[in-house]
Amino acid sequence: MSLGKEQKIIFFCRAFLLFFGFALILWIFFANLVPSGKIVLVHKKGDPGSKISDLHPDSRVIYLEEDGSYQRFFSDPVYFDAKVPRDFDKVVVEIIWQNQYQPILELGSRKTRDAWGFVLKPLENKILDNISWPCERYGDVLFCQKIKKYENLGDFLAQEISKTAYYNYEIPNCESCEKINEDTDLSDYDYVIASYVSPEDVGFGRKKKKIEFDWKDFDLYINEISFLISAPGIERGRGQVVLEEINITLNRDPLDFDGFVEYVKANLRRLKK
Amino acid sequence: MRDLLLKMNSELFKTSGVLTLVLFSLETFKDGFVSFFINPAIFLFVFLFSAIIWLFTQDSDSI
Repeated sequence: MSLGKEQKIIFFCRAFLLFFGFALILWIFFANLVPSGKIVLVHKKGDPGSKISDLHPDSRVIYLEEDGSYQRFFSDPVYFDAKVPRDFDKVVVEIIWQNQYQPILELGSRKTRDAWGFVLKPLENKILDNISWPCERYGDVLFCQKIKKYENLGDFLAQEISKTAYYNYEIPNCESCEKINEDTDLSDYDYVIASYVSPEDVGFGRKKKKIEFDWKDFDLYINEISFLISAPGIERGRGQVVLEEINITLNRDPLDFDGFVEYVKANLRRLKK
Repeated sequence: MRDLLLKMNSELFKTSGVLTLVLFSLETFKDGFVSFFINPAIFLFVFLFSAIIWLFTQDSDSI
């Protein structure tokens, strides 16, 4: 091969490698800005590169070979974390699970790391799902009466409230009201108010639900946000819960110039700390 | 041909070395900045592989 041709090949090789290097670094900077404003994280069990961690602690999780990508736990609570490239506005968690006998299953976002502080939202409440009373729905709010006495929720709330079980709903000044927990027996009550939507049944006993959190419901730790799955009393012979899928969608406004400036400022502030 | 490949390997060695350094520095400044999108160890392996070829072959000392 002539020297001139060899030099040309080396020159192109060098140019290609330099271009690749610069392009890669620019792409990483650009990707960190999440210009579309949306990123989807998918859990991959046992993969160290997965953006969503496996359930932990290990002592509450059962590892069975036949479970494949599923995760099974028998003790409460269990946690998982998600890596995020930057801050967002909304966090939507989509979970598919199987629940044997656990009456209440909740998903929580870790709001503080200094203490036990989680924002809990319902995944499944079998007590409400199996209620046989006549019920009315007002958006996410469910109002049930053992014997229909009130026309609607407004009429009920206008009266003095008594013998009411509530869930994920605030009732002010009611001494005889009780929050529904895993041991609640609804026969002790006349009314139920809950801010709750049943999970979607996706067949073979599997349930699916999307839960939305605000970004302020999380305490970002380095580049991680944390979640909890609460199954109170599951250790008392209530079987196991199998998580089949965890997908997290992070949403924010698409990137514009102001957003870019804000991102740069936030990172400079972080570097100063 | 062998000379050409060794010279190309020297180019790869230099570029992957610098890229590895830059990527790991960025990762140190902000956790996950690089590793969220790509594993920087890939470039470290390319660097080590090209370094081994560079180190144990003759005529590729002109870096």
